[in-house]
Amino acid sequence: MQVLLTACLLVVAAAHLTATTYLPASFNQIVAESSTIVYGRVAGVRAAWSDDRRTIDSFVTVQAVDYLKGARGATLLFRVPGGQVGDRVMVIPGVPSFREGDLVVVFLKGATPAIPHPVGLAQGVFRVIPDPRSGTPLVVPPPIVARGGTARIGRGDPARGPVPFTAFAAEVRGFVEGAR
Amino acid sequence: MSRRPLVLALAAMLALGSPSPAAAYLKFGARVGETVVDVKWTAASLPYFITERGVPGVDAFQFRDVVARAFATWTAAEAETPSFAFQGFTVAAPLSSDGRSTLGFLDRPDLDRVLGATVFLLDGNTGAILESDIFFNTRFTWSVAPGGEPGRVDLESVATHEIGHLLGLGHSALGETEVVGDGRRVIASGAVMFPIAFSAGSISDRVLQPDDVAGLLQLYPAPGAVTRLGGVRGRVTRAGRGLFGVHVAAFNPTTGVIIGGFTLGDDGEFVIAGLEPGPYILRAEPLDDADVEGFFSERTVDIDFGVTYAPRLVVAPAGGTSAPVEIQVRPR
Repeated sequence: MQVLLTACLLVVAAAHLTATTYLPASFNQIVAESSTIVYGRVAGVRAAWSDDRRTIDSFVTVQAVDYLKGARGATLLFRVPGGQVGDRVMVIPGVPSFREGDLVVVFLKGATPAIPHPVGLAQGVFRVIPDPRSGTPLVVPPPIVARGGTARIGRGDPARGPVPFTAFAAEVRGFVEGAR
Repeated sequence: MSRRPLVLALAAMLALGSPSPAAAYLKFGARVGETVVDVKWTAASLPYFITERGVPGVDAFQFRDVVARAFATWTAAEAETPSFAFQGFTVAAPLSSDGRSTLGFLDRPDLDRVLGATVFLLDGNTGAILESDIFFNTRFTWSVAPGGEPGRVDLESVATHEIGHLLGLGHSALGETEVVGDGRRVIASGAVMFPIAFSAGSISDRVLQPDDVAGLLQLYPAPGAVTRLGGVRGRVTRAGRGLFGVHVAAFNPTTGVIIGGFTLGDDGEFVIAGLEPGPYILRAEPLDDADVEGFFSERTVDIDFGVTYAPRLVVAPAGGTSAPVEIQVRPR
């Protein structure tokens, strides 16, 4: 029955190819487009109107634990669109939000003096959560294949799942160094 | 008491103890004090403006016409959506925070890979929508050709998706991608509200799919649909505990239609409504292939389990919901 349903799902879905909003990036694209990749803890979030008072941006300060690419210092500031100033809230569905204390790996684009932003918005943000049993920091990696490879990304693949941050960092550094 | 309105999935409402049952489609909410309110339009008519700006291949008049068609696509669905009324052109760009809902092109190089986005400006005290703008990023090349154009993004497809957001819908997870060479592409999708763009040139997202309409009916129910359609309900558990953020797909083997939903609380409960009456095969799957931030704010989702099917067919009755079914998943 499982095989049958899987086949039905694929057939039906394949007849209606759709999707929109953002262009997906492969993991090596995300790494390549990043000027900085930081692992750290969110130390603060401040929202402000733009100079022309048209939009609200949130400025996120990260206390860096480690840099996987392009070190910038003990703390780092990046921005995402949206946020709250006074009694006005600007929200953009799909844009990641941050809270003080969040542990994250963020892939950032933008060279100094510009304030960087996550590559592909949500695509460049990975939450780090402690393993409930061991406390080991875990990351859910994106689908990753070797350069030039092809892989269909199915949900629930037993080969995928949360990995220790150290393993994720090694994977990222492998891409940074062009080893993959 | 601090007030911190945020974009949340409907999940937050359940987590905060909303007494009302809620279906499993993602829709937007704003936290106001200790409660979460739906971000949805309550007025019967929604006036909007168009930025008087074109891009190569699309002038402002073509833009206006395409947007009108995209609005009409949603209003034609069996739901009581507000009507949309074009008010005229404006020199103001989207995201101008001027109290007007404006759609138009905007240059946002910082939002690389974002074709378009819907932006809400809310009253932080009440959660009421003050305006909602949609921008289309000029960093991309756009098309309004009836059949689409290779290499150009179809404006009507993106507009249809974004208007779904404007109406209050979140993203659907009915889709699948693959990594090819140095890129990632969508190979299948079952909803206009799937968040990832298909290849440039595709016009598929001009047409709503059952999953989109089911979500719309949750926000803007039509009396006839409520009595004609049914729903399924249940709970996804692992070792007796409910799981949050599990994607549940309801497949009708008779019609071939798939409609998706999520478990939206720590109890692992889900309700998928807007279904044609009949038997359904339910499949629980971890949201481990997507950018979770594009679906849920503030929460991490449970993904430590394999794809699991409900132990039996579940029948959606007309005008009601099924008896609850429990889908027990195991760690990978």
